[in-house]
Amino acid sequence: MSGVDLRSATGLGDDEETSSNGRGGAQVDPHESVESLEPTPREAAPHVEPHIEASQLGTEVEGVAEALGDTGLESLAGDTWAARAAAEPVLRDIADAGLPALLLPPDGLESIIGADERQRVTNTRQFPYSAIASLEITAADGSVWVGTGWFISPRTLITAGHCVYIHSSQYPGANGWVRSIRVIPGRDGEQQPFGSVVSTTFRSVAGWTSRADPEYDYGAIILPEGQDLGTRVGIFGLAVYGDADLQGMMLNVTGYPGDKIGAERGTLWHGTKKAVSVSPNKVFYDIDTMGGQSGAPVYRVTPEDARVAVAVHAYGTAGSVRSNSGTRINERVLARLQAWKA
Amino acid sequence: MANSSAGTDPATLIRGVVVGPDARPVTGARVAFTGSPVPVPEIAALTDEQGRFHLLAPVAGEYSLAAHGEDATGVPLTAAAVVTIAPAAGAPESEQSREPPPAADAAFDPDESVGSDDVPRAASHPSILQSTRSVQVELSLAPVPGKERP
Repeated sequence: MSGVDLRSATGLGDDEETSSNGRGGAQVDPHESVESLEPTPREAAPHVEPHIEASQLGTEVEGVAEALGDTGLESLAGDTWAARAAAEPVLRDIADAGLPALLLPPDGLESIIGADERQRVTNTRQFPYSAIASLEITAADGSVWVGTGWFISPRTLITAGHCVYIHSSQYPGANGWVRSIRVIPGRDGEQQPFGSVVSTTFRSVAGWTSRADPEYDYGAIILPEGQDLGTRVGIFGLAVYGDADLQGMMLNVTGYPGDKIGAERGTLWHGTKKAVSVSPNKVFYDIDTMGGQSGAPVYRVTPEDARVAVAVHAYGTAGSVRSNSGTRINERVLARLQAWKA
Repeated sequence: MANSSAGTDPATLIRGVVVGPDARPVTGARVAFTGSPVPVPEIAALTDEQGRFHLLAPVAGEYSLAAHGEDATGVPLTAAAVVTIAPAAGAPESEQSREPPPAADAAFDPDESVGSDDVPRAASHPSILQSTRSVQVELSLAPVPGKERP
């Protein structure tokens, strides 16, 4: 994996400031509307130099997933994506699953936008899929949930804030930090090629834990000392892009949806499409997702073949919001993620 | 389909049970929203030994739920339901919103990092989305056509 020069730059415009401790110089209005409405795409946004940290292969992965040229698409199971790159909804047989790719009519599954274009990932020993983990989350009230996380350092995974701090307890007094999360990287159904580790240490930000603000919906899982799974499975890079670069960027979302059943339960699924729009704290895309994919990486394949995350998948479509969305990695979020690395 | 009674809290807890074709509770079924009036977190609930789950509906409106599971022999099963949460009496749906945010606090920093292991131990506190009302729903799983065998 080639190195990438770090070019420090703000991702949000000249009036934004960040300091080394992550406290924003710009004033944040806690009463600002948190309705995550899809914004009007900005026009002629000034180009901002991206801030990129390269990804790293793990010691036990089986190579790197093939990317298709400059489109940033991932090639799965060794097949090419020529037809996919032409933006035709041609779906191919996935040999391991033994099933024809699905072409479902729109049926009210709003996080599936149009036809279901998700593709199963079969070689989860291959980076970056090895660095994506199925999460079994036990909340403070004992309820169990399914989510997705991804490694950014040997012992730190990033996920959605609502995967580590749950606001929807059935017992109001038991809201808050989850009790534990079992992390299963590279899970493929019943297969756990890298084993699993249980964590009881989590991170998030006050905007999520105190205000349940969707604009701050991100968090981290810290594995116990000595459990350096990230070294084995690989770690994602992180990238802050300006609006002009991010809007229209080819993105990938890969995670563990809960709607897969039978032999496909607990399998990893992938989607790729261009970003639809961006706001200061969110990225919107029409990549198909379903419940269970909360926390999945929203990432780009760079020309240097690095996998760099640009957002954390968190919400599906609803009402006037016609795209799925993730919490954008801007300079403030990047500062937090870097501080959480263990 | 379940309808809640009118209330003043905008958030409603949808409590449910997932049963199989034999009407027995299904453990480990994944339940998630597939439609909602506002974007909701894409986390999926797993049913417990009694087939129970819960999801939070943040505002009034119509919610679609889907459950996916397997029977004891691994046969895949699915179910769907629609739950309508009525707005509070006297208030049109368009005015429904989350609970008003806390009073202005100039010291509040939404970017401040917080941890589950903060000292003193970070205590759970009532969520801003805390609900005082709930609705019940039952999802009855059935085999997926064409997938009746594991």
